Amino acid sequence: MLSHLLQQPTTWLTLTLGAYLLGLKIYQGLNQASWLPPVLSGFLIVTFLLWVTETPYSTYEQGGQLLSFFLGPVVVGLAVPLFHHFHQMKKQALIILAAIVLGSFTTIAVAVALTHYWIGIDAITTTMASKSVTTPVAVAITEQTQGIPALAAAFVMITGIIGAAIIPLLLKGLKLDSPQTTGVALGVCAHAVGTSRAIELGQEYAAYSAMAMTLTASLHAIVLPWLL
Amino acid sequence: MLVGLFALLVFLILGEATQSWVAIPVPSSIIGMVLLLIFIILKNKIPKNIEIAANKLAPLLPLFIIPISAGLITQAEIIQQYGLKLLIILTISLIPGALVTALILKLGKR
Repeated sequence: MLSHLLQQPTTWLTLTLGAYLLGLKIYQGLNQASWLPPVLSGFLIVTFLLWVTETPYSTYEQGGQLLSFFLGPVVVGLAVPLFHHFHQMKKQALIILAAIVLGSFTTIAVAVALTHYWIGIDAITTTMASKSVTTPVAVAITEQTQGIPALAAAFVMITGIIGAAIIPLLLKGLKLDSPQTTGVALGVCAHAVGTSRAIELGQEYAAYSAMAMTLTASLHAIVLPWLL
Repeated sequence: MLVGLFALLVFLILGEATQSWVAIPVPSSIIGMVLLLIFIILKNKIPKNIEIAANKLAPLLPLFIIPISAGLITQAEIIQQYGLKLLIILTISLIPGALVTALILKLGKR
C-alpha cells in the first residue's frame, strides 16, 4: 500500500506542502535565521524523503510540478514592485542603474570565468551565470539557455545565504556601509535572501535591496540569454 | 484574487505568444512581466486585482521553488565531484560584485 501511495502525485504535493510548513515553523522558531530559510529546510526534508523512499524524481515531479507551475505568474507579478521602485528612484536612477549593471556583471563574470577555467563543463558554466537572480527567474533563464534548472536553484540559494551573511560585514569593515550601498549590494548579489537580511537592517535598506533585486532579475533575464 | 491571477496568467500567455512570434531567447514569463509593466505604465496605475494577486503569490515563492530544488537529487554526481569548488566560486565571486556596486554608489553620491 505504501509503495502505491508513493506513486501518487497527491502524496508528494502534500509532503512538499508539509515540508514547507515545517520549514516555516523552524524558521520562525530560530528567530528568522537567514541561514535556514524555509526553502532550504523544505528542500532538505523533501530530498531526504525522496532518498529514503527511493522515489525517482520523475515520479515526484508529477506532484511537484503543480507547485512549480506558479513560478510563471509570480515572475509576471514582479511588474508590480518594479513599477513601485521606478517611482521611488527616479532622481538617482542613473547612478543606481550603473551600480546594478556593473556590480552584477562583475560578480557573474568572476563566477563564470572561475567555473570555466576550474571546472570546464559548459552546462555548469551556463548555469553559473544565473546565480545572482531570484530563483524563479534563474530557473526560467536556465531553461532558456540549456543550463540545469535544479543546479541553478541550488546556486541561487547558496549565493543568497552566503551573500546575506558576508556582504553587510564586508562593507562595514571597509567603511562602505549605508542603507543605499549595502541595500543595493544585497539585492544585486544575494537577491531575495539578501533582501530578507536587508529587512532586518532597516526599512531603507530593504527598499533599496528589493529594488536592486527586481531590476537585476529583469535585466539578467533579458540580457543573459543572448550572451550564452 | 482570482481575477488578478487570471490577469497574470493572461500576461504569461501573451509572453509565450510574443516569444514564439518574435523568436527571442528571453524567457516567456519575463516577456509577460515586461508586457504587464508596459500596461501599468500606460495606465499609470496598478490595477487593484493584479496587485492583490501579485502580493498574495510572492510570499509563497519558497513553496513554489522546493520541487525544482529537489531536482538537485538528479545531479548528485556533479555535487560530489565539484561541490567544494562550486561553493568556493560562489563565495569568492560575491566579493568583487558587492565592492563594485558599493563603490559606484559612493562615488556617484559626490
